[in-house]
Amino acid sequence: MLEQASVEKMFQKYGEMLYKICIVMLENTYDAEDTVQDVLIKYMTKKPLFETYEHEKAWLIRVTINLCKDKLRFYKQHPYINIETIKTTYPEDSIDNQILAILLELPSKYKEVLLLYYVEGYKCFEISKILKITESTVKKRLERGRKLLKKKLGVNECG
Amino acid sequence: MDKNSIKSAVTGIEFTEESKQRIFDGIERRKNLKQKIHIKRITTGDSCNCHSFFVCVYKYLAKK
Repeated sequence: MLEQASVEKMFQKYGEMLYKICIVMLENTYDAEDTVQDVLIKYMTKKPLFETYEHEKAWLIRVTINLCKDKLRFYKQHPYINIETIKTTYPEDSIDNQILAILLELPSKYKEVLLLYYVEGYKCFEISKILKITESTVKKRLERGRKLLKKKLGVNECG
Repeated sequence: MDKNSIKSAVTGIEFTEESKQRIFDGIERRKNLKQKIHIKRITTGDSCNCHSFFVCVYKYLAKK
């Protein structure tokens, strides 16, 4: 096991980012907390060696997304009704809240790509490496995700 | 739709202190649980060894 101090340092650095990825993927606070916990435990037990800061960040993102997918697979087999509303810093009737609500409704394959591209600022080839898919798939998913978002928001193609 | 709107929508998700606390409490709980299981395994192993030792001694004495 790794030292508590190094895990806390890692949590301070990436905790918020990982939590937000989990929230968008799982749409549930408690599941997001559990998944971040699992990621930290994996980090402590595996003790991976990283070449760079970017390498470490990419590893954490990949593990988080994989664990979220595991949870989603479980919920596909064991369906439940989510009645929880996610806490946000902006008001409920704001446009940000609408966008978040629509983003949460998207299929997970679009959500992960949109998150990494728009929120984390990764390039398409970097996303393809993190998710282990081809660059053209990333581009296609981005395009489809954007289209779906716009359609659900009621924005026309030129807007 | 602005490209930054996705970013601002996600950035606005609140990461509360309670959530942070729950994550750390969960890790502590799981660490303690792992230690307990480890100790239980050791003690169970020891008691098994003791038991088999005494069975051997008893069998040996019974033979005599």
